[in-house]
Amino acid sequence: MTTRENEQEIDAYIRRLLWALQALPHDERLGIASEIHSHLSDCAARGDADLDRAMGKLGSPDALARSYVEEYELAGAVNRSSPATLLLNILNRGTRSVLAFFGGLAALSLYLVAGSFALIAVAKPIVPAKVGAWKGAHEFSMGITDAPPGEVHEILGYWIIPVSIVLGAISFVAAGKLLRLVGRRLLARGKPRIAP
Amino acid sequence: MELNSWQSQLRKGATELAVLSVLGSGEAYGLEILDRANKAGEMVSDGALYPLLTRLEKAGKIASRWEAGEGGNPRKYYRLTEEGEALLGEMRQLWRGFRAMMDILV
Repeated sequence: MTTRENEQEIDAYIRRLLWALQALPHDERLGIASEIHSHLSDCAARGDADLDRAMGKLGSPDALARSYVEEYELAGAVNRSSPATLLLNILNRGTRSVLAFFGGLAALSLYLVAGSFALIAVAKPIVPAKVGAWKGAHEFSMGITDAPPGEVHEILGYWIIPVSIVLGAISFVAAGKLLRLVGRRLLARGKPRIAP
Repeated sequence: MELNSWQSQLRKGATELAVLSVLGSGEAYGLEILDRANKAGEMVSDGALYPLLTRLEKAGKIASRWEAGEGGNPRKYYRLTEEGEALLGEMRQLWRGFRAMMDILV
């Protein structure tokens, strides 16, 4: 029978597991916690030594949670989720992985760049004088501004619309590709651990 | 040390087939799967099994149901889906071919 001490030990493990699984949807966390709780309770019923061995073989709650989160939630994200979900997943792992941190940051920047180009394409027909690409002797600037630079001339005219759409689309596609690349790399890293 | 990592690579590749094979002989819950898969030696570890089950279930290869066990401890029982049966069949074929090749070599 499960003793009170064993029960406390199991509960503590499950609490830490639940905490470490925060990245997963609520229902999935509870399902995983119930299953591991059931597993540990069955092992405890076989004896104290069996409970200790089972905990050793599961690994720490953090390590077990990492296996779940990185392998399976990311697997789901890489295959099915929108770029937004994937970006959030990868940024969320940024605190633990340098690859996730810089990959997520780069993808986020590319999305911002894509958004800026889209804004330029939309704004040009509305406020033509304030949107453009200006070339001076030593400078080049492109965008939306209240006061276009003085000693320079605008070079693109309405061509800025297709140019922005193409550049924006390239940034957008590049961001998506980068996300999936980073996602797959993280996935390859998070493969389940097998008995030593 | 090198031998250990080679051995764990071998196990890693075989774990999925081992788990599917166990389920091929009937519905089972996690601890039962571990007991059966490890009958002949350490093959599948607890920490690798449960995330693997979640992934196989998400991929539609296995299905699950909860049932109250003895002592009121609820257990999650897994069984192969049709897709899982088909995958197991294909993996078995590949495994047999692989084993025959290695038997000739080694």
